[in-house]
Amino acid sequence: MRSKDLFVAALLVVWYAVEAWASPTMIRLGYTSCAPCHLSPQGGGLLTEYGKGVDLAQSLLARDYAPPPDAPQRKFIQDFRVLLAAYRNVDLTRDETVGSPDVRFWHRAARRLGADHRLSSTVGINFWSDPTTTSARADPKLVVMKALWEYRIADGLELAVGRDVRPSGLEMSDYQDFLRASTEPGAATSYFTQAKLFWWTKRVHVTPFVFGPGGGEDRLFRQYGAGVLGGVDVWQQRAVIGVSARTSRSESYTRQSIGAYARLGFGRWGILTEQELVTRSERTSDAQAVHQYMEDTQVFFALYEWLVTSITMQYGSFDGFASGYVGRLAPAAQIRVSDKVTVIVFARNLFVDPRRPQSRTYSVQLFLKTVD
Amino acid sequence: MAAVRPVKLAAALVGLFITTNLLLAAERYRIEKASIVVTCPMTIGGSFETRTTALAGELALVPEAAGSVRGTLTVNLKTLKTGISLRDTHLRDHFLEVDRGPEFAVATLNEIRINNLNGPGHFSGKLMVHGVAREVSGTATVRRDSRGFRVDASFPLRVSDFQISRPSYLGVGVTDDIQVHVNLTATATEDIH
Repeated sequence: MRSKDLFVAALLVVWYAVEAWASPTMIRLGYTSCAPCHLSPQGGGLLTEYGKGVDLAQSLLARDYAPPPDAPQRKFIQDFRVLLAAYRNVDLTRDETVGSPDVRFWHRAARRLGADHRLSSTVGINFWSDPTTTSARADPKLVVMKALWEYRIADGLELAVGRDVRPSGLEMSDYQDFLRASTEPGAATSYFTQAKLFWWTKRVHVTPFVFGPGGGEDRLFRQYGAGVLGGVDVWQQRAVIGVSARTSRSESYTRQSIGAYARLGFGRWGILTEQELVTRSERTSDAQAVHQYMEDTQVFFALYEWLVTSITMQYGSFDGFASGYVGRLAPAAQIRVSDKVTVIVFARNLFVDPRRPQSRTYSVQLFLKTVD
Repeated sequence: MAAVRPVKLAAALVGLFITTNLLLAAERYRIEKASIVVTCPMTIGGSFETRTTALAGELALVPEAAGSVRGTLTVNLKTLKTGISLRDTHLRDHFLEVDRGPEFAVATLNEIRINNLNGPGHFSGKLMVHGVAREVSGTATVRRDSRGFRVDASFPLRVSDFQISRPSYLGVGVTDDIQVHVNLTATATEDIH
């Protein structure tokens, strides 16, 4: 099978990562990091009390979040999330349309072990495989997305060890895994075993990390590697510019990447963008190294606090820029009805030829969650 | 000859009076357009901006006191926006207490002195917020044109100086030191006394 075929196949198989719809759009309001609102400085997941307040304040049914003022700090918090979705997947080359539902459950929990330690977990059940493709099928699977020990060493310094998504400049793994998967053949999961250190000040964020296999990979594709992210607030808490680097090795290939990212906010709207150059070399043959370029860019606009529209553009090139191209264009709208209900509507076009889309997916997703 | 001099003198005095008043009248300015951005650093890092365009007032240069500006600038604090509606409400109701009385609903700046009326310089004045008046000072760049002038000014404030409870919400607060940035356009008014 040619490399390009593997590339496209990898895209189609790993097309549908967890659609948790994480997006660091709060840069538009001066939040340069995820730490104010999320328990984990990497973002996503359970919210701090402040985060719950902001989540509720930015809802269509906005109201004050008012926990009891004298309540002791809780040792265990959790929530349950459900995704109910409907997809219409259109293969434009074969003129084939397939509708697919999707149902997913997540349980997210954090247990405080002491003043500075906690255990965090996210466990999910996905009931459908490839729901955004024409090969969608019922295929229940249990997925452990996160199992971390987290230690707050000091203010602005946290160590996390366990299983989780790897750090990235935009922390939009649900979008970015689409292209990343093509640069890591055989990676069966987005969740890797890792140790990562978050260091952040009011202007600078640095995150070095090391990682190992996530589980489920063939022995030949188990990666071991390290990486680092670094970002700086360059303009009045509205512009974070950063760089990233990562290297890994498996029995079948080595991979190195360097990248740059920017998170820009301008009040009601903003831009999130990340580019990466990847070099991958086969270890089992003398084949020439493969160079890939990936770009993820999202322009978002908050029409109202509870209604954020966006358009995400993704581009990946393969085989040294000369041939092999994939792109994705996805306009979307996210409506936060309340702190428990979010609706996302999107249409997504996949291009492997810039002249016309290969496939298109229309979707309505309903996210429900409990609030602890 | 002796009879002509008083007439000429009177005419000169009238002319001087009219010219002076014209000059004085040309030095009155009304705020036509304004933007105020208050940058509020948060205790957990980052910052948010509080904005309004509701700045009004009339200013006049005081010829006998170079650099002094007569008049009052008034900001309607009920129009402040932070980007999150609930936060706007908290800011206005809990911290600025805009409904507590007329002097709480607005911020005023008067007794303004600027050391350079055409170019970068410094300014000072008396700011009243939350019923408390304090001297403030900062930088101001004044650009004059045929219609009036534009001012780009910036100055720091200490929240506690105005007896405002330190804004905080669910463990996240605003630092005591905030920065105010004012951009305004004022056009000349002709008001002959």
